[in-house]
Amino acid sequence: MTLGYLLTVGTFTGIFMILTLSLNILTGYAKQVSLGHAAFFGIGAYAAAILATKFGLSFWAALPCVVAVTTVVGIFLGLPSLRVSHDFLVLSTIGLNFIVGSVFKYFSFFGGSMGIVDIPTPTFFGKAFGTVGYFGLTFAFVTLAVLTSIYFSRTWGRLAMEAFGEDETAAKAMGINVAKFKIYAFAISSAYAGIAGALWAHYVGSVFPENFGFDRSIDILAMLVLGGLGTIRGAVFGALLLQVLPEALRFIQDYRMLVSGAVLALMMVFQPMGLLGKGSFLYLRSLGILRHFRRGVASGAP
Amino acid sequence: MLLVDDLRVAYGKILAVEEVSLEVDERELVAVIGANGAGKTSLLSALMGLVEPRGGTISFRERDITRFPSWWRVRLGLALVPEGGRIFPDLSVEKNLLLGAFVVRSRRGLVENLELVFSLFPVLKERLNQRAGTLSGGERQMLAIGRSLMASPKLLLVDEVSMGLMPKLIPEILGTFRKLRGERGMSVLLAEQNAREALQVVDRGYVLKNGRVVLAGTAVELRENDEVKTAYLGL
Ligand SMILES: Nc1ncnc2c1ncn2[C@@H]1O[C@H](COP(=O)(O)OP(=O)(O)O)[C@@H](O)[C@H]1O
Ligand SMILES: [Mg+2]
Repeated sequence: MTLGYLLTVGTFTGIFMILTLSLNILTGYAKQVSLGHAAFFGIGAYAAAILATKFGLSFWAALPCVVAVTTVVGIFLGLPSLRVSHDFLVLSTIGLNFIVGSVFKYFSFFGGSMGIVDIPTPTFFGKAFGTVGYFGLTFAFVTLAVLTSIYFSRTWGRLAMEAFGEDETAAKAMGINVAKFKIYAFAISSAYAGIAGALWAHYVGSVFPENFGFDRSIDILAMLVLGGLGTIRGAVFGALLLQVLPEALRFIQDYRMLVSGAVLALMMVFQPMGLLGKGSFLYLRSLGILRHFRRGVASGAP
Repeated sequence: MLLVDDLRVAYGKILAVEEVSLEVDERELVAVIGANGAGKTSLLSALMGLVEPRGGTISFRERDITRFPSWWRVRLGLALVPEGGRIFPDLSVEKNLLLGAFVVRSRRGLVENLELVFSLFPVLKERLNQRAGTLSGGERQMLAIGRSLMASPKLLLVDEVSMGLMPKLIPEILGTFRKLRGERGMSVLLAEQNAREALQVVDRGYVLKNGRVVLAGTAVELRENDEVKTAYLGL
């Protein structure tokens, strides 16, 4: 195992951490279950690819545009959530994968099934990012995503989302403009996904419609559910686990879809709060262990 | 302060509220008495903007709010204690109270309202960090009332708080509305099945039957009314 290989795995893991943090706001906080998150990711990646190859914009110049595009598309795609019930939202987000995938595939502007290739590596003060540099760049964005998530989790917006996630009617009676905050959730979530998409496109150097299909949406949701819906630590940990484990255990790789699907189903049945979510077995255990440890240190002192 | 004229609420073909007109003045406590299914919850939901009325008008503090969204009504000074409390069980007591103050947000207003809530229901102060779902039935109703007070309402709509409470708690809880009128100058519209207890605390009342107002009068008049006596007071 070379360092370059580890850094590559690390970079992809970072990109998925941004995606799980993104989904955490939509599904973890606002309880809008999305089985179409790869579509938002794909829109970001395609926006970055097109801006770089057709308009010659640099990664940095394109990034604000990518975020703007994904935010606006997110708002637009979030509108159905105002009309349909939870169950139907799940179905319509599944549909999203196929709609967005088809648009990429059948419109020549998006490169058709040949995709878009030769996306340049970003530069920083004239120097192209190497493997190490890109790993650093990705984790700078992961850090940014974590910090903004922490910030957001302390705002009234998060509280509003938790409230209507539990009881929409009661939330309305509190004076919460539920429609507004649902759209916020879609907008913020899809802005994050846009950044993840841009990082992906410039790292891989090409984008194809099948990179952003339904199976990828399941991956992202499985990571978040595994780590713990509604928690930042869970989002980060889940992405790490499901990205790194299959790399370590090579034979699993061919069964990726099976693993993600099984993880999703098993977690929902046995530990819906995730491994590190609120009230989860491991989280409570680790708190207990920490407390034990502290007490041990305290009593051990002379 | 609140003027309802010819209000109708329907769910598909089911008429829940028909031609209801009523009013609530400043600093007034008013009851809407009605059996199960009479249309009390539908009426309050329409007042709060949670269901769209089929017809009629609602005006509150000289504004026609019939088509206003709920969040706007809360800003104008309406608040609801929903049927069954409908607290957020997975959130802490503290977050539930904060959510009540969603439209307030100013630190001072928040602290003042919290003090009011704790003075009425000291038990909530001890339970602040507890999940609201772990509260007892009575404590939940207290939280639901406390939460609604966090918005500094001018008119409080209360949907059957007495339901599911221990009998000896009912006068105490209903009594808090009199206190609130005294201390805060609040008005209260109290929907109740429990006519006996409700008519002890309110000034006036309406009797709702199959979605229609069939009787109106002062609390004393209603208590003495033969129909009310037999149908709602069990005398
Ligand atoms: N969401 C609903 N859908 C259909 N019918 C309803 C709904 N809510 C209430 N109803 C009907 O409307 C009538 C009035 O109900 P409600 O307002 O809940 O009365 P109350 O609160 O006085 O018990 C009842 O006949 C009830 O079955
Ligand atoms: Mg009712």
